[in-house]
Amino acid sequence: MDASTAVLFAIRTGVRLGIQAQRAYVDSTRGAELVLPLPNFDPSRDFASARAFFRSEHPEKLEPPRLHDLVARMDAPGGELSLDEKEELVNFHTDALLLQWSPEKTDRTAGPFPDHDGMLALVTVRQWQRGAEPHPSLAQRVAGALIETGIDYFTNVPGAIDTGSRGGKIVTAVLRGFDDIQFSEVPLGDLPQRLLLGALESMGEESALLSSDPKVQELITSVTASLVKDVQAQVQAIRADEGGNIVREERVRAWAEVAFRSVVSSGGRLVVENPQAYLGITGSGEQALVTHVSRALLDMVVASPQGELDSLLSAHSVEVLADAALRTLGEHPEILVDGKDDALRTLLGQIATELADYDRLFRTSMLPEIGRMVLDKTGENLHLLWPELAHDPRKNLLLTGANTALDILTRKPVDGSKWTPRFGREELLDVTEAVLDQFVENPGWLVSEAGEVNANLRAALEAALGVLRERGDRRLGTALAADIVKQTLTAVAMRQEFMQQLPGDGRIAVAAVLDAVLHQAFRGDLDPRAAWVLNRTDVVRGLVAVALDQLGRSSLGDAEVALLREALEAQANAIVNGRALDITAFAANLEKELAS
Amino acid sequence: MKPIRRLPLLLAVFLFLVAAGCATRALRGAQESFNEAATADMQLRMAAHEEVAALLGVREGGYRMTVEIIDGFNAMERAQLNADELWGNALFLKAMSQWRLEDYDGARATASDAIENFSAQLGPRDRAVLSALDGLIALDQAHAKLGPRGPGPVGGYPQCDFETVNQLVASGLDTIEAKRRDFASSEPVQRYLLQAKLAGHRTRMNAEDCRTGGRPPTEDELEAKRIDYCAFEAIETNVDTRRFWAGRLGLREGVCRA
Repeated sequence: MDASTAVLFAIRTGVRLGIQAQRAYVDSTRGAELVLPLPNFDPSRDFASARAFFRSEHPEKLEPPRLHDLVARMDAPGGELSLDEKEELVNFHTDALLLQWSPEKTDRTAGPFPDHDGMLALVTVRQWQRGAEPHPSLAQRVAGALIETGIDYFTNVPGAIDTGSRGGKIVTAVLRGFDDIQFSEVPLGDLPQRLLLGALESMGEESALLSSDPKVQELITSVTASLVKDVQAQVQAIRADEGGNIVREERVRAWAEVAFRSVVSSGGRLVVENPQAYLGITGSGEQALVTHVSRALLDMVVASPQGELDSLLSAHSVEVLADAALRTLGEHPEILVDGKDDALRTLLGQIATELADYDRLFRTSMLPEIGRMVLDKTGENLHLLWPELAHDPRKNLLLTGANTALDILTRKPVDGSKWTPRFGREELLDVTEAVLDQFVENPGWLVSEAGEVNANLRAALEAALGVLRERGDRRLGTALAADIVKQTLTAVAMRQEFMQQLPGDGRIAVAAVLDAVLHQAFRGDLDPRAAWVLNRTDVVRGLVAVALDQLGRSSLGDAEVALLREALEAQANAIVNGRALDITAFAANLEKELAS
Repeated sequence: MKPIRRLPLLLAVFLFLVAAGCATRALRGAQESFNEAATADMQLRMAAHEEVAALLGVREGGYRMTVEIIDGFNAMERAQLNADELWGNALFLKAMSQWRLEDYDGARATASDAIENFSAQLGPRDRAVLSALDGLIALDQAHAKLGPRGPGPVGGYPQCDFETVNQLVASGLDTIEAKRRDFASSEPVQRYLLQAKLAGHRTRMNAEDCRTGGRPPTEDELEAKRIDYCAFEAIETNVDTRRFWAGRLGLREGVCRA
C-alpha cells in the first residue's frame, strides 16, 4: 500500500468512526435517563398514614389495649383524638412498620424511609427498557465502522488478499457481498462469520469449479448481498413488532445461513453450466435468479408461524428444495417475469404450509421430497400446471393434486375397516409421484376446462382405497396396496368409463373391478389351497393388472364385472383341484369370456 | 479519483460533524439542568428547614435554565435537532419544566405541540408523560388546594375543602390511568406513572382532615389505592421503595396477596 492510500484509509476510518460516535451521542441523548419529578405530595410520616394503617386491621387484633382504645375512639361517631393521642398513634404506626419489616430493629429513627438518594431512585426513568433500544449500541456502531473499513480495505487494496488462492477467492466473493452493508447500523449478529464459513465449507469440495469459473464467485457475492439485506429487513421487522426478540432474530440468522449454504452448494454447478440464466439480470431493479431462490427459501421458513417448520426441515431438506427451485427457475425464468417475483416465494410458502401438517402428524419427512416433485414437474408443463402464477400463484395444480392424494392416503380408516394399516413414507411418496405424473402425462382426466383440478382424482383414489379398506386384511401389505392405487390411476387415465357408475353395483366401475379381485383373493371362506396361491403379492398384483387391462379393453358394465367374478371363482376352484395358476392363461380366458 | 483528492471532501464531512454536535451538546446541557432542578425538586419534599432556600433556588433556576436553553435554539439548531429526532425530547424537557414552574397553560401548549407535531421523535417515556401531563397538573393543583400544613406529624391540612381536592385527585388519577394503559406494562415509565398515582392517593388521604367536608375513604377509594399500589409493587424491585409507599399510604405487608 502506498503512503497516500494509507493516509486515505486512516482518514476514512476516522470519519467513519466520527460519524458513528456522533450518532451514538445523539442516541444516548434521546435515551438519557432523566429525573422526573412527581406531582407534589406530602411524603412525611403522619397521622393520615397511621389512621389508614390501623383502620385496615380488625379491631380485635389491635394490641396493646391502648392502641385498641385509640383506634376505637378515633372511629367513633364524632370521635376526635387530641394532638398527643394522634402523635401516640403515629408512634404505634412506626413501631408496627419496624416490627413488620425488620423485627430486630427497635430504633424508631432508623426506619425504612428513603434518604435523598433513595428518593431520586424513585423517579429516575429510562427512555426505553434495557435491551429494547431501537438504535444500535455504541459498541456495534464502532465495531461496525471498523468492519466496514476492513471490508473496504480487503476488497479495494490490491494484494491485501491472495485472490489466486481458493480461500482468497471465496473470502473476496463474500466480502464483496458485504460491500453495501452498513454494519454499524444493521443488527446482523454473527451472520457475516456464518456466511464466510458457509461459503468456505460449501465450496470445500469444489475447488476445481472455483478456479475454473469466476461466475461461482459472482454467485457467492450475489447471494451474500441478498441474504444480508433480507436478514436486515426481517430483524428490523421483528424489532418494530415487539421491540426486540433475541430468539426470533437468531432464528432468522440461522436459517439464512442454511439457505445460503443450500443455494451456494446447489447453485455452483448450475451457474457454471448456464451463468446467464442464473446470474443474468435482464432489467433495472431486477435481481439474479439465485437471489430469488435464497430469499424465497428464507421467507418460507421464517414466515411460518411460531417457527413451526424448524423441527420439520433440516439443512438437507432446504438443499433439496433449493436444488429443485434453481433447476425449475433455470429452465423457466419466465416464472419470475410472469410471477413478478412473488410466484416462487408463494409456492414454497404454500408447500410448507400445506404439507407440514402431514409431516407433523405422520412423522414422514415428506415435505422436501414432495416439494421437489412439485417444483420439478411444474416445469414440465408450466402453463397448464401453474396457470395463474402471475395473478394467483397459490393455484399450482400439482400442489393441489399432492394435497388431495395425501389427504386421502393418510386418512384414518373408518370404523369397521378390515384393512387398517397406514401407508409409510415411501408408499406415500410413490403414490404422490404417480399422481403428479398423471398430471404431467395425462392431464385431460384431472384438469377441468377451467384449468382447475376436477373431482376425478379424489373419486378414483377414494374408490381404490375404499375397496382396499373393505376387502383387504393383514395379508395385504402397504407396498402392494400402494401399487394397486397406482394401477388404478393408470387404468382410469386410459379409460374414462372406469369412472362411470355401474347401475347394478352402485360404485364406479374401477371400484367394482378392484372389489372383484380383492374379494376373491382375501375372502374368508376361501379354500386354504387357493388362498395359498391367491394371497401372494405378485399374484394379487398380476390379477389386478389383468382385470384392469382386460376390462379396460372391453365394454364395461355390471355384466362384465360379473364375468370377471366368475372367472376368478373358476380360477380359485381350479387351484383347489390341483391346477397351477397361470396368469397369462387367466388373462386369455378372461379376454375370451368378455369377447363372447 | 486519486486518494489525496478526496481529502477536502473528508474534511468537509468532519467539520459538518463538529457543527452538528453543538446543538446536541446544548440539549445535553438542558437535560443536565433539568435533572439538577428535578433532583432539588424531589429533595425539597424531605429537606430540613435550613436546606429549603438553597434547594428552592436550584429548583427554580434549573427549570428556568432548561426553558431558556430550549427557547434559545436558533432555526439552524432546531433543524439539526429535528433531523436528529431530538426536538421532541427538547419539547418534553420544556413542557416538564413549565409544569414545575406552575406555567400550566404553557406546559399544556408545549406538550400538545410535541405530541401533535413530533410524535415520531418521542420515545415511550417522553410520549407517555406528555400524554399524562394534564393528570400530573391536576394532582399538583389538588395538593395546592390542601393549603398549609399544621405543625408536626399530626398537624394535617385543616384549611382545605375536601370535595375540591377530591375532584382534582379523581380527575388526575383517571387521566394518568387512561394514558398509562396505552403503554406496555414493561416500559420503565410505568413505574413513574404509578408513583404519580400513588402521590395522588396520598393527597386524598391528607384531605380527609379537611375541616370542610373531610371524611373517611370509601371502599372504592381504598380499593383503587390498593390496586395502584399492587401494580407498582409488581414491577418495583427495590424493597425500600415499596416500603416507602406502603408506609405513606397506610398499607400493610401482604396487602397485594389479599
